[in-house]
Amino acid sequence: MSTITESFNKANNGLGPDLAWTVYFGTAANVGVTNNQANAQGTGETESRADSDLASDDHYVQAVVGADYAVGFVGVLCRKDSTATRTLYRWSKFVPGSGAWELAKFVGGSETILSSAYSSTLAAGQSFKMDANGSTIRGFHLGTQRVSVTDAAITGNLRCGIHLGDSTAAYIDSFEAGDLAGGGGAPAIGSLGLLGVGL
Amino acid sequence: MAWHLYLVPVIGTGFPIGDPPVRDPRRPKYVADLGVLWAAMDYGFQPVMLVAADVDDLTDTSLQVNADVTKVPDALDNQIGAVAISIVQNALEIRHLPAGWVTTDITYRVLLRTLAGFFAFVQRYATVANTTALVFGGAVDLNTRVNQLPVAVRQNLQATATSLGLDATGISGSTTLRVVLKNIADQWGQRSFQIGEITV
Repeated sequence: MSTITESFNKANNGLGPDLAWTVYFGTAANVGVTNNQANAQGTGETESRADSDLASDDHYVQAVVGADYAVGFVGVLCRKDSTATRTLYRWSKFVPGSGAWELAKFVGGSETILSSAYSSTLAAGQSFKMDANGSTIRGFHLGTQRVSVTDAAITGNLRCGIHLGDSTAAYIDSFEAGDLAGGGGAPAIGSLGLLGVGL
Repeated sequence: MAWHLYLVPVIGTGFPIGDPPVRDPRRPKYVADLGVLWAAMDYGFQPVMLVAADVDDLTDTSLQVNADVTKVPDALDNQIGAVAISIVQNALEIRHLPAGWVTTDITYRVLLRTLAGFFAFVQRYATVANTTALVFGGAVDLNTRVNQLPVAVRQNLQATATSLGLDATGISGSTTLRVVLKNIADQWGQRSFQIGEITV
Protein backbone atom coordinates (compact mmCIF):
# COMPACT_ATOMS: atom_id res chain seq x y z
CA MET A 1 0.00 0.00 0.00
CA SER A 2 1.40 3.37 -0.96
CA THR A 3 0.60 7.04 -0.58
CA ILE A 4 2.14 9.94 -2.46
CA THR A 5 1.88 13.62 -1.58
CA GLU A 6 2.82 16.89 -3.19
CA SER A 7 3.04 20.24 -1.38
CA PHE A 8 3.85 22.42 -4.41
CA ASN A 9 6.08 24.39 -2.05
CA LYS A 10 8.68 25.60 -4.51
CA ALA A 11 9.56 28.38 -6.88
CA ASN A 12 8.04 28.37 -10.34
CA ASN A 13 9.36 26.39 -13.34
CA GLY A 14 7.18 23.33 -13.37
CA LEU A 15 5.34 21.25 -10.81
CA GLY A 16 6.98 19.72 -7.76
CA PRO A 17 9.09 19.56 -5.63
CA ASP A 18 8.01 16.40 -3.80
CA LEU A 19 7.09 14.33 -6.87
CA ALA A 20 8.18 14.20 -10.50
CA TRP A 21 5.42 15.41 -12.82
CA THR A 22 4.64 15.15 -16.53
CA VAL A 23 2.26 17.46 -18.36
CA TYR A 24 0.90 14.96 -20.89
CA PHE A 25 -2.05 17.03 -22.16
CA GLY A 26 -1.97 20.71 -23.04
CA THR A 27 0.99 23.04 -23.11
CA ALA A 28 3.58 22.31 -20.44
CA ALA A 29 4.38 26.00 -20.09
CA ASN A 30 0.76 26.58 -19.10
CA VAL A 31 1.06 24.88 -15.74
CA GLY A 32 3.47 25.62 -12.93
CA VAL A 33 3.70 26.80 -9.35
CA THR A 34 2.74 30.22 -8.01
CA ASN A 35 2.72 31.12 -4.31
CA ASN A 36 3.31 27.47 -3.43
CA GLN A 37 0.27 26.22 -5.37
CA ALA A 38 -0.09 24.46 -8.71
CA ASN A 39 -1.35 27.11 -11.09
CA ALA A 40 -2.71 27.38 -14.62
CA GLN A 41 -0.40 29.80 -16.38
CA GLY A 42 -2.06 30.18 -19.75
CA THR A 43 -5.23 29.51 -21.67
CA GLY A 44 -6.49 26.04 -22.46
CA GLU A 45 -6.61 22.85 -20.45
CA THR A 46 -3.73 20.94 -18.95
CA GLU A 47 -3.53 17.52 -17.37
CA SER A 48 -0.46 16.52 -15.37
CA ARG A 49 0.34 13.16 -13.84
CA ALA A 50 2.54 12.41 -10.87
CA ASP A 51 5.19 9.99 -12.15
CA SER A 52 4.89 7.60 -9.23
CA ASP A 53 3.10 4.28 -9.53
CA LEU A 54 0.66 3.38 -6.78
CA ALA A 55 0.52 -0.28 -5.80
CA SER A 56 -3.06 -0.84 -6.93
CA ASP A 57 -5.49 0.45 -9.55
CA ASP A 58 -8.02 0.71 -6.74
CA HIS A 59 -6.95 4.09 -5.46
CA TYR A 60 -7.97 7.61 -4.47
CA VAL A 61 -6.66 11.04 -5.35
CA GLN A 62 -7.47 14.28 -3.61
CA ALA A 63 -6.45 17.91 -3.52
CA VAL A 64 -7.51 21.30 -2.22
CA VAL A 65 -8.54 24.38 -4.16
CA GLY A 66 -5.57 26.74 -3.86
CA ALA A 67 -5.74 29.79 -1.62
CA ASP A 68 -5.41 32.17 -4.56
CA TYR A 69 -8.18 30.52 -6.59
CA ALA A 70 -10.65 32.85 -8.27
CA VAL A 71 -11.92 31.06 -11.38
CA GLY A 72 -11.06 28.27 -13.83
CA PHE A 73 -11.06 24.50 -14.08
CA VAL A 74 -9.67 22.35 -11.29
CA GLY A 75 -9.78 18.60 -10.96
CA VAL A 76 -8.07 15.36 -10.14
CA LEU A 77 -7.56 12.28 -12.27
CA CYS A 78 -6.84 8.63 -11.65
CA ARG A 79 -6.08 5.33 -13.42
CA LYS A 80 -3.62 7.08 -15.70
CA ASP A 81 -0.64 5.15 -17.01
CA SER A 82 2.93 6.28 -17.71
CA THR A 83 2.36 7.05 -21.39
CA ALA A 84 1.08 10.09 -23.25
CA THR A 85 -2.13 8.24 -24.15
CA ARG A 86 -5.10 9.97 -22.61
CA THR A 87 -6.82 7.04 -20.91
CA LEU A 88 -8.05 7.87 -17.38
CA TYR A 89 -10.94 8.93 -15.16
CA ARG A 90 -11.27 12.59 -14.16
CA TRP A 91 -13.35 14.49 -11.59
CA SER A 92 -13.39 18.20 -12.38
CA LYS A 93 -15.25 21.36 -11.65
CA PHE A 94 -15.46 22.15 -15.32
CA VAL A 95 -18.30 24.62 -15.48
CA PRO A 96 -17.43 28.03 -14.01
CA GLY A 97 -19.51 29.65 -11.31
CA SER A 98 -22.17 27.48 -9.74
CA GLY A 99 -22.23 24.88 -12.51
CA ALA A 100 -21.82 21.14 -12.50
CA TRP A 101 -18.87 18.97 -11.65
CA GLU A 102 -18.11 16.39 -14.29
CA LEU A 103 -16.91 12.85 -13.86
CA ALA A 104 -15.47 11.82 -17.21
CA LYS A 105 -13.53 8.97 -18.72
CA PHE A 106 -10.99 9.24 -21.50
CA VAL A 107 -10.19 6.19 -23.60
CA GLY A 108 -7.50 6.70 -26.23
CA GLY A 109 -8.13 10.42 -25.97
CA SER A 110 -11.89 10.14 -26.49
CA GLU A 111 -13.82 11.89 -23.73
CA THR A 112 -17.12 10.60 -22.38
CA ILE A 113 -18.97 12.40 -19.60
CA LEU A 114 -20.30 9.83 -17.15
CA SER A 115 -21.83 12.19 -14.63
CA SER A 116 -22.97 15.76 -14.50
CA ALA A 117 -25.10 15.06 -11.48
CA TYR A 118 -23.65 17.44 -8.88
CA SER A 119 -23.51 21.20 -8.97
CA SER A 120 -21.84 23.60 -6.57
CA THR A 121 -19.86 26.77 -6.24
CA LEU A 122 -16.12 26.49 -5.73
CA ALA A 123 -13.91 28.42 -3.35
CA ALA A 124 -10.35 28.44 -2.08
CA GLY A 125 -9.59 25.85 0.57
CA GLN A 126 -12.28 23.38 -0.45
CA SER A 127 -11.26 19.74 -0.74
CA PHE A 128 -12.18 17.45 -3.60
CA LYS A 129 -11.43 13.82 -4.21
CA MET A 130 -12.17 10.86 -6.44
CA ASP A 131 -11.64 7.16 -6.06
CA ALA A 132 -11.80 4.12 -8.30
CA ASN A 133 -12.65 0.78 -6.76
CA GLY A 134 -13.26 -1.98 -9.26
CA SER A 135 -15.88 -0.62 -11.63
CA THR A 136 -17.19 1.97 -9.15
CA ILE A 137 -15.88 5.48 -9.71
CA ARG A 138 -16.86 8.17 -7.20
CA GLY A 139 -16.46 11.91 -6.90
CA PHE A 140 -16.31 13.83 -3.62
CA HIS A 141 -16.47 17.49 -2.64
CA LEU A 142 -15.97 18.83 0.87
CA GLY A 143 -15.53 15.31 2.20
CA THR A 144 -18.92 14.08 0.97
CA GLN A 145 -19.56 11.65 -1.86
CA ARG A 146 -21.39 13.55 -4.59
CA VAL A 147 -21.54 11.11 -7.50
CA SER A 148 -20.97 7.42 -8.11
CA VAL A 149 -20.85 5.83 -11.53
CA THR A 150 -20.25 2.32 -12.80
CA ASP A 151 -17.74 1.91 -15.60
CA ALA A 152 -15.53 -1.04 -16.47
CA ALA A 153 -13.43 0.49 -19.24
CA ILE A 154 -10.16 1.31 -17.52
CA THR A 155 -8.14 -1.00 -15.35
CA GLY A 156 -4.53 -1.56 -14.41
CA ASN A 157 -3.30 2.04 -14.59
CA LEU A 158 -1.49 3.16 -11.45
CA ARG A 159 -0.96 6.91 -11.69
CA CYS A 160 -2.92 9.97 -10.61
CA GLY A 161 -2.71 13.66 -11.34
CA ILE A 162 -4.34 17.06 -11.62
CA HIS A 163 -6.42 19.03 -14.13
CA LEU A 164 -6.01 22.80 -14.41
CA GLY A 165 -7.06 25.30 -16.99
CA ASP A 166 -9.10 28.03 -18.54
CA SER A 167 -7.77 30.82 -16.32
CA THR A 168 -4.54 31.89 -14.70
CA ALA A 169 -6.62 32.23 -11.55
CA ALA A 170 -7.04 28.43 -11.23
CA TYR A 171 -5.00 26.96 -8.37
CA ILE A 172 -4.64 23.53 -6.73
CA ASP A 173 -2.77 22.66 -3.54
CA SER A 174 -2.07 19.71 -1.21
CA PHE A 175 -2.19 16.83 -3.71
CA GLU A 176 -2.39 13.31 -2.33
CA ALA A 177 -3.03 9.89 -3.85
CA GLY A 178 -2.96 6.41 -2.40
CA ASP A 179 -4.20 2.85 -2.56
CA LEU A 180 -7.62 1.90 -1.26
CA ALA A 181 -6.53 -1.50 0.04
CA GLY A 182 -7.05 -1.93 3.76
CA GLY A 183 -10.32 -0.18 4.23
CA GLY A 184 -10.39 2.59 1.68
CA GLY A 185 -8.55 5.78 1.14
CA ALA A 186 -7.85 8.47 3.64
CA PRO A 187 -10.75 10.82 4.18
CA ALA A 188 -10.63 14.04 2.22
CA ILE A 189 -9.15 16.99 4.02
CA GLY A 190 -12.54 18.69 4.13
CA SER A 191 -13.96 15.81 6.11
CA LEU A 192 -11.04 15.93 8.52
CA GLY A 193 -11.93 19.53 9.08
CA LEU A 194 -15.51 18.58 9.85
CA LEU A 195 -14.22 16.11 12.40
CA GLY A 196 -12.17 18.82 14.02
CA VAL A 197 -8.87 17.33 12.98
CA GLY A 198 -6.24 19.99 12.57
CA LEU A 199 -4.04 20.09 9.51
CA MET B 1 -38.29 17.16 -10.45
CA ALA B 2 -37.65 13.42 -10.37
CA TRP B 3 -34.99 11.03 -11.60
CA HIS B 4 -35.91 8.86 -14.58
CA LEU B 5 -33.99 6.44 -16.80
CA TYR B 6 -33.78 6.59 -20.59
CA LEU B 7 -31.91 4.88 -23.41
CA VAL B 8 -30.67 7.66 -25.68
CA PRO B 9 -28.21 8.14 -28.53
CA VAL B 10 -24.74 9.52 -27.91
CA ILE B 11 -23.71 12.87 -29.35
CA GLY B 12 -20.22 14.32 -29.50
CA THR B 13 -17.10 13.07 -31.23
CA GLY B 14 -15.14 12.60 -28.01
CA PHE B 15 -12.35 14.78 -29.35
CA PRO B 16 -11.81 18.56 -29.53
CA ILE B 17 -13.18 20.13 -32.69
CA GLY B 18 -12.61 23.44 -34.48
CA ASP B 19 -9.87 26.02 -34.38
CA PRO B 20 -9.28 26.98 -31.66
CA PRO B 21 -10.25 23.50 -30.47
CA VAL B 22 -13.37 23.17 -28.37
CA ARG B 23 -14.09 20.03 -26.41
CA ASP B 24 -16.82 17.84 -27.81
CA PRO B 25 -17.24 15.04 -25.28
CA ARG B 26 -19.46 12.05 -25.89
CA ARG B 27 -22.64 12.73 -23.94
CA PRO B 28 -26.33 11.82 -23.94
CA LYS B 29 -28.36 13.39 -26.76
CA TYR B 30 -31.08 15.79 -25.59
CA VAL B 31 -30.35 15.31 -21.88
CA ALA B 32 -26.91 16.94 -21.85
CA ASP B 33 -28.35 20.11 -23.34
CA LEU B 34 -31.18 20.48 -20.83
CA GLY B 35 -29.09 22.01 -18.05
CA VAL B 36 -30.30 19.36 -15.60
CA LEU B 37 -28.38 16.93 -13.42
CA TRP B 38 -27.70 13.59 -15.09
CA ALA B 39 -25.47 10.53 -15.08
CA ALA B 40 -24.81 7.99 -17.82
CA MET B 41 -23.47 4.55 -18.59
CA ASP B 42 -22.22 3.93 -22.10
CA TYR B 43 -22.07 0.83 -24.30
CA GLY B 44 -18.40 1.36 -25.04
CA PHE B 45 -18.11 3.32 -28.24
CA GLN B 46 -21.49 2.16 -29.50
CA PRO B 47 -23.70 5.24 -29.92
CA VAL B 48 -26.09 4.49 -27.05
CA MET B 49 -26.22 5.41 -23.38
CA LEU B 50 -28.36 4.55 -20.42
CA VAL B 51 -28.90 7.90 -18.75
CA ALA B 52 -30.53 8.96 -15.50
CA ALA B 53 -31.80 12.53 -15.45
CA ASP B 54 -33.46 14.73 -12.85
CA VAL B 55 -36.26 16.35 -14.85
CA ASP B 56 -39.73 17.79 -14.35
CA ASP B 57 -42.85 16.14 -15.77
CA LEU B 58 -42.98 18.38 -18.83
CA THR B 59 -39.37 17.61 -19.75
CA ASP B 60 -39.92 13.92 -19.10
CA THR B 61 -42.82 13.97 -21.54
CA SER B 62 -40.90 15.94 -24.16
CA LEU B 63 -37.98 13.53 -23.98
CA GLN B 64 -40.26 10.57 -24.64
CA VAL B 65 -41.63 12.23 -27.77
CA ASN B 66 -38.28 11.68 -29.51
CA ALA B 67 -38.30 8.54 -31.62
CA ASP B 68 -34.72 7.70 -30.63
CA VAL B 69 -35.42 7.86 -26.89
CA THR B 70 -36.78 4.94 -24.88
CA LYS B 71 -37.88 5.60 -21.32
CA VAL B 72 -37.42 2.87 -18.74
CA PRO B 73 -40.45 2.60 -16.46
CA ASP B 74 -39.81 4.04 -13.00
CA ALA B 75 -41.11 0.94 -11.21
CA LEU B 76 -38.04 -1.21 -11.76
CA ASP B 77 -39.43 -4.23 -9.93
CA ASN B 78 -42.43 -4.50 -12.22
CA GLN B 79 -42.38 -7.33 -14.71
CA ILE B 80 -42.14 -6.33 -18.35
CA GLY B 81 -45.41 -8.08 -19.15
CA ALA B 82 -47.12 -9.06 -22.39
CA VAL B 83 -48.04 -5.56 -23.51
CA ALA B 84 -44.49 -4.16 -23.41
CA ILE B 85 -42.42 -7.19 -24.36
CA SER B 86 -42.17 -6.50 -28.08
CA ILE B 87 -41.50 -2.80 -27.46
CA VAL B 88 -38.67 -3.65 -25.08
CA GLN B 89 -37.17 -6.24 -27.38
CA ASN B 90 -37.27 -3.91 -30.37
CA ALA B 91 -35.76 -1.04 -28.35
CA LEU B 92 -32.83 -3.28 -27.45
CA GLU B 93 -32.22 -4.95 -30.80
CA ILE B 94 -32.09 -1.71 -32.79
CA ARG B 95 -29.29 -0.65 -30.42
CA HIS B 96 -27.33 -3.89 -30.90
CA LEU B 97 -28.36 -5.13 -27.46
CA PRO B 98 -29.41 -8.80 -27.42
CA ALA B 99 -33.10 -9.20 -26.58
CA GLY B 100 -33.99 -12.79 -27.37
CA TRP B 101 -33.58 -13.72 -23.72
CA VAL B 102 -36.05 -11.05 -22.52
CA THR B 103 -39.34 -12.57 -21.40
CA THR B 104 -42.54 -11.14 -19.95
CA ASP B 105 -41.81 -12.31 -16.42
CA ILE B 106 -38.47 -10.62 -15.86
CA THR B 107 -38.37 -7.26 -14.13
CA TYR B 108 -36.89 -4.04 -15.46
CA ARG B 109 -34.28 -4.24 -12.70
CA VAL B 110 -33.09 -7.63 -13.98
CA LEU B 111 -33.12 -6.24 -17.50
CA LEU B 112 -30.98 -3.22 -16.54
CA ARG B 113 -28.50 -5.25 -14.51
CA THR B 114 -28.05 -7.55 -17.49
CA LEU B 115 -27.57 -4.56 -19.77
CA ALA B 116 -24.86 -3.39 -17.36
CA GLY B 117 -23.05 -6.66 -18.09
CA PHE B 118 -23.26 -6.02 -21.83
CA PHE B 119 -22.05 -2.47 -21.29
CA ALA B 120 -19.13 -3.50 -19.07
CA PHE B 121 -17.86 -5.97 -21.65
CA VAL B 122 -17.96 -3.53 -24.55
CA GLN B 123 -16.47 -0.74 -22.39
CA ARG B 124 -13.52 -2.91 -21.44
CA TYR B 125 -13.09 -4.14 -25.03
CA ALA B 126 -12.16 -0.60 -26.10
CA THR B 127 -9.21 -0.44 -23.74
CA VAL B 128 -8.10 -4.03 -24.22
CA ALA B 129 -8.19 -3.65 -28.02
CA ASN B 130 -6.89 -0.07 -27.73
CA THR B 131 -9.50 1.16 -30.17
CA THR B 132 -12.33 3.63 -30.39
CA ALA B 133 -13.85 1.67 -33.26
CA LEU B 134 -17.36 0.28 -33.00
CA VAL B 135 -17.85 -3.39 -32.23
CA PHE B 136 -21.21 -3.45 -34.01
CA GLY B 137 -21.80 -1.70 -37.30
CA GLY B 138 -21.22 -2.30 -40.97
CA ALA B 139 -21.17 -6.03 -41.58
CA VAL B 140 -20.98 -6.95 -37.89
CA ASP B 141 -24.21 -7.37 -35.95
CA LEU B 142 -25.48 -9.50 -33.11
CA ASN B 143 -25.84 -12.50 -35.40
CA THR B 144 -22.24 -12.38 -36.55
CA ARG B 145 -20.36 -15.52 -35.51
CA VAL B 146 -17.08 -15.32 -33.67
CA ASN B 147 -15.32 -17.23 -36.45
CA GLN B 148 -16.45 -14.58 -38.94
CA LEU B 149 -14.44 -11.92 -37.11
CA PRO B 150 -10.81 -11.07 -37.80
CA VAL B 151 -8.41 -13.03 -35.63
CA ALA B 152 -7.27 -9.92 -33.78
CA VAL B 153 -10.85 -8.99 -32.86
CA ARG B 154 -11.54 -12.52 -31.71
CA GLN B 155 -8.44 -12.51 -29.54
CA ASN B 156 -9.31 -9.12 -28.09
CA LEU B 157 -12.83 -10.29 -27.22
CA GLN B 158 -11.34 -13.25 -25.38
CA ALA B 159 -8.79 -11.02 -23.66
CA THR B 160 -11.61 -8.68 -22.63
CA ALA B 161 -13.46 -11.47 -20.85
CA THR B 162 -10.25 -12.54 -19.12
CA SER B 163 -9.53 -8.93 -18.14
CA LEU B 164 -12.93 -8.77 -16.44
CA GLY B 165 -12.14 -11.97 -14.55
CA LEU B 166 -14.66 -13.93 -16.60
CA ASP B 167 -14.48 -17.23 -18.50
CA ALA B 168 -13.60 -16.65 -22.17
CA THR B 169 -14.13 -20.20 -23.44
CA GLY B 170 -17.56 -19.31 -24.87
CA ILE B 171 -16.02 -16.79 -27.25
CA SER B 172 -15.17 -19.15 -30.07
CA GLY B 173 -16.28 -20.93 -33.21
CA SER B 174 -19.80 -20.51 -34.50
CA THR B 175 -21.10 -18.79 -31.37
CA THR B 176 -22.90 -15.57 -32.29
CA LEU B 177 -22.08 -12.27 -30.63
CA ARG B 178 -25.56 -12.15 -29.10
CA VAL B 179 -24.83 -15.44 -27.34
CA VAL B 180 -21.38 -14.23 -26.33
CA LEU B 181 -22.80 -11.07 -24.77
CA LYS B 182 -25.50 -12.93 -22.85
CA ASN B 183 -22.95 -15.44 -21.60
CA ILE B 184 -20.71 -12.63 -20.42
CA ALA B 185 -23.61 -10.80 -18.77
CA ASP B 186 -24.66 -13.97 -16.98
CA GLN B 187 -21.15 -14.30 -15.61
CA TRP B 188 -21.11 -10.60 -14.70
CA GLY B 189 -24.21 -11.33 -12.66
CA GLN B 190 -27.03 -9.27 -11.24
CA ARG B 191 -24.81 -6.58 -9.74
CA SER B 192 -26.56 -3.60 -8.21
CA PHE B 193 -25.34 -0.25 -9.48
CA GLN B 194 -26.06 3.42 -8.99
CA ILE B 195 -26.74 5.84 -11.81
CA GLY B 196 -27.53 9.38 -10.76
CA GLU B 197 -29.85 9.11 -7.77
CA ILE B 198 -31.28 5.79 -8.94
CA THR B 199 -30.06 2.49 -7.51
CA VAL B 200 -30.64 -0.34 -9.94
